[in-house]
Amino acid sequence: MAPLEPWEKVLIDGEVYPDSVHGQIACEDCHNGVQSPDKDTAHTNLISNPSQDSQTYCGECHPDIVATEAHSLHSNLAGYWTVLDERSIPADHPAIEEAFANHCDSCHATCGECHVSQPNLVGGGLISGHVFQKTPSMTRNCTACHGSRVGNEYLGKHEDLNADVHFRRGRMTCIDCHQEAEMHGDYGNCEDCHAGPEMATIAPPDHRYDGVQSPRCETCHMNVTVGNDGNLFHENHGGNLQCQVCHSIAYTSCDGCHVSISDTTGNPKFATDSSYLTFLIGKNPRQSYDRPYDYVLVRHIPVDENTFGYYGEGLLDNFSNLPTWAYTTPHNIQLNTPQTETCDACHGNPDIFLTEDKVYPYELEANLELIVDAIPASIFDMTGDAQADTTP
Amino acid sequence: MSDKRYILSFILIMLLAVSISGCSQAQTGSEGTQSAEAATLDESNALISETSEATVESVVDSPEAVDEVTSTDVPAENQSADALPVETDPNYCLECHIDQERLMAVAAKEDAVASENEGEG
Repeated sequence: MAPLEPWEKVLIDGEVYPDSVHGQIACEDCHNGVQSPDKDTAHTNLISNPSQDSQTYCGECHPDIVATEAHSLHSNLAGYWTVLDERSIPADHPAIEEAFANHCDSCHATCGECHVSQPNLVGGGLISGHVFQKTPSMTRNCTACHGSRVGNEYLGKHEDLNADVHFRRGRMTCIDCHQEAEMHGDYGNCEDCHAGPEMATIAPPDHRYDGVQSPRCETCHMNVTVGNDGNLFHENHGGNLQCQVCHSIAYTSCDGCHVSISDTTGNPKFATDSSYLTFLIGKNPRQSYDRPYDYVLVRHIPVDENTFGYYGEGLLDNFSNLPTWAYTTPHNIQLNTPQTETCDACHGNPDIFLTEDKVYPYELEANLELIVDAIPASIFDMTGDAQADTTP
Repeated sequence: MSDKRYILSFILIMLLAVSISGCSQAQTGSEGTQSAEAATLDESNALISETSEATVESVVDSPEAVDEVTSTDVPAENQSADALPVETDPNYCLECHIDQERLMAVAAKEDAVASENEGEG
């Protein structure tokens, strides 16, 4: 998204903001500075993003939210560290930490970057004239960061590909599924619902696909899960296929992200070698109680052996410890897709499975657990009945 | 500052002495003397008034003077209320930040550096 003009970023709504709840707090209480008609003097020791220290500036009035913030993946970026630690060795961590601070840390979202301004990743800037918003803006907060894949898919910005049905028909926004508790790192505990022997404390997730699957399609589409909606596909595949396998369409994969410091501006920058649309079913690399599926959609993630090459050679020594094709949940759900037309849209169709020939030779070792060795046989091959493959 | 206080104190003591002396003389009675003393008293009051105004002005102009006044001249029981150096306006910053034209004129142009990231967001 285009960055705001410098003046636009700091323009306050003089009619609405002073009467709002946060407008009752003196500017200097959060932003520091000095009362002076001279701009530079007024901005002495200015704190432009106070919620970087949420405990001090937000915690007094919002203690319950700030208390769990450290568990939020948006705040702690634990997902990044989980995979970087796995792909590297401790001796290389100082160099990776430097790279992380320059390039990855900007993905950290403070309270303010969702509730009052655009994220720093896209240049920041007040959204509604400093009026705090309980619900973040889908386009100016959520897809400001999650735009190149999720935003483009969900809003239907790829040519000839429909927007997600939840947006197209339901006008649902991100927060309708990704709710407050998830965003604030309040993941709850088993005993919140179960009083029996299941009681246990759920550890905070260390990755977006770690722990309890939330949100999950079944929360709203329960009848599909139990296979009692009269749909043959759901009866046969309800438990062993991720919902997106049948209900998604083509989505974005990326190759070769490289980071460096600009010679021109001295600012950190990154570039990817390419991004392209894919639709590939792989074996589930994250099979668990919460994600029991045998087959899931997979995308190529932009990591590369030399992603951090600017900071040193071979920093990702254990690059092949994790796959380069990853579990994915495209945000372009459709009721009807090519896969839902007939059984043999998938059965016996090698084009839509992640097979060895679709993996870069130097990445084969890393992706063995996802590669589909044997394509599910066509219905005709299984039954010998050409009429068996009909639309359910 | 201290010198001025000594001068003021000295003048007041002198006036008191003159006043006491005048009272005793009045008891023995001379109207002319009373008029002369009244004139002296008026001049002294004017001098005190001028000195006080000058002191106030110098206090306002000098931050050190504010400290001195608040730390030494104000009775302890009133110190917390009077110690606020300047009245702060909680919405002082809004004067600039709600004024679009003013912001457009002064906003740092260097903020508008184009990102070199490819595939951003």
